[in-house]
Amino acid sequence: MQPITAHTHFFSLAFSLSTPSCSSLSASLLGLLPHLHRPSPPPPNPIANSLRGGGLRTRLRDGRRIGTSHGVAAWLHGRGSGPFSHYRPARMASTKACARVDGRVMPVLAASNAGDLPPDVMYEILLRLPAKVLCRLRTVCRFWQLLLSDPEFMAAHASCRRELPLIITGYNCYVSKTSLANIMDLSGDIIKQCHEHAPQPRLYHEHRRR
Amino acid sequence: MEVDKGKGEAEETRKVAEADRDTVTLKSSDGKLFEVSKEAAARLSTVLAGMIAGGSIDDNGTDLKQIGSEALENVVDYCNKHANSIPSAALISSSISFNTAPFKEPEEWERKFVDRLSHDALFDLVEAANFLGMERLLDVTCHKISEMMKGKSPDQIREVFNIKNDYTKEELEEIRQELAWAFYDD
Repeated sequence: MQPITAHTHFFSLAFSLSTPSCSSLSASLLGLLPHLHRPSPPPPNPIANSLRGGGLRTRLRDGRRIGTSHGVAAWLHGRGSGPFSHYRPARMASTKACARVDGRVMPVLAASNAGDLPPDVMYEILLRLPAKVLCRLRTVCRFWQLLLSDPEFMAAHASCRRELPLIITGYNCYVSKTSLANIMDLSGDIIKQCHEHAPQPRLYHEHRRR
Repeated sequence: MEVDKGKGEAEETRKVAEADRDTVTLKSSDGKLFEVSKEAAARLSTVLAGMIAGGSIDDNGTDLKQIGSEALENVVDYCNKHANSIPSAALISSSISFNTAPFKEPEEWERKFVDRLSHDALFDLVEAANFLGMERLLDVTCHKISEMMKGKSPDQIREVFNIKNDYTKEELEEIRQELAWAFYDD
């Protein structure tokens, strides 16, 4: 066995988004590591966050509480059938929940085909799913794709789970001309390993050309 | 004069009796009546608690036009089963730390309670729980639905939730390629 001479990139949270040579890799891995895809560190205090008018989650939760307690809980889209279908005319008030103050606008129109359940209930359900399942669910519809890649959703998802951050280590092996990336937790256990034959061919060809 | 006074007294005793009643009557969208303990209703549902505190509870049945009889029956059933199982202090602390704490696992009886429900009944119940502001019931039902979703393909999910696929074929293929790893089982 010949020892592998490996050129090692070690990039963690701070570098994963900024190192150009790793950008394609990190972008593809973001799906697995939604915690990393945050523009800024998550607010330490959720109460402070809600006071600032922080996230969609807060707004949706507040919207729901206010809405339901006054009997005007409302959603832009309605149910196809069932006991709530006659309730649709009132479903206008919390479209505000979809409008963002920070310049970005949540996909209000896209919500019109978002299914039987109200978006806030759907949001609660999605928060309970593991990250990998959520990545798969991005292919369900555009609204879910936007919701599930939203940093606010990711922050809420991460804060609900109290998972420790993960570390990505990348290797270019010049002897066997392969690239390798390990995703490890803080105790050093490898959770997932991507290599040339991994189901990510584009990524690794791109990575090798550089 | 005497008669009026008697009438007033009767009115007063009726009011006192009302305030002392320890159940509330709820009326579903199709007019069926359900009784639930006032204490449990106030403890489990923020909306009902508000209505009880605000005095907008109707003795002949508080109208809940948004909830069908089947869902309301399940809600009442849940309240009754819950009535003595969890001390209110635990519930209060759970609602305060709700945003940060990991989700609480449903208890055994709660799991059984949602397991026996049909798909439609479960969806109606989750909406009813959402409407009534029943944090814990929402937790339990959302947990159940998320469990249901875990092994399903995007196509099956669309079917279950009645979601329209608004991607074009090419877009879908592109996203699938980007997320290819997520479609492989470990």
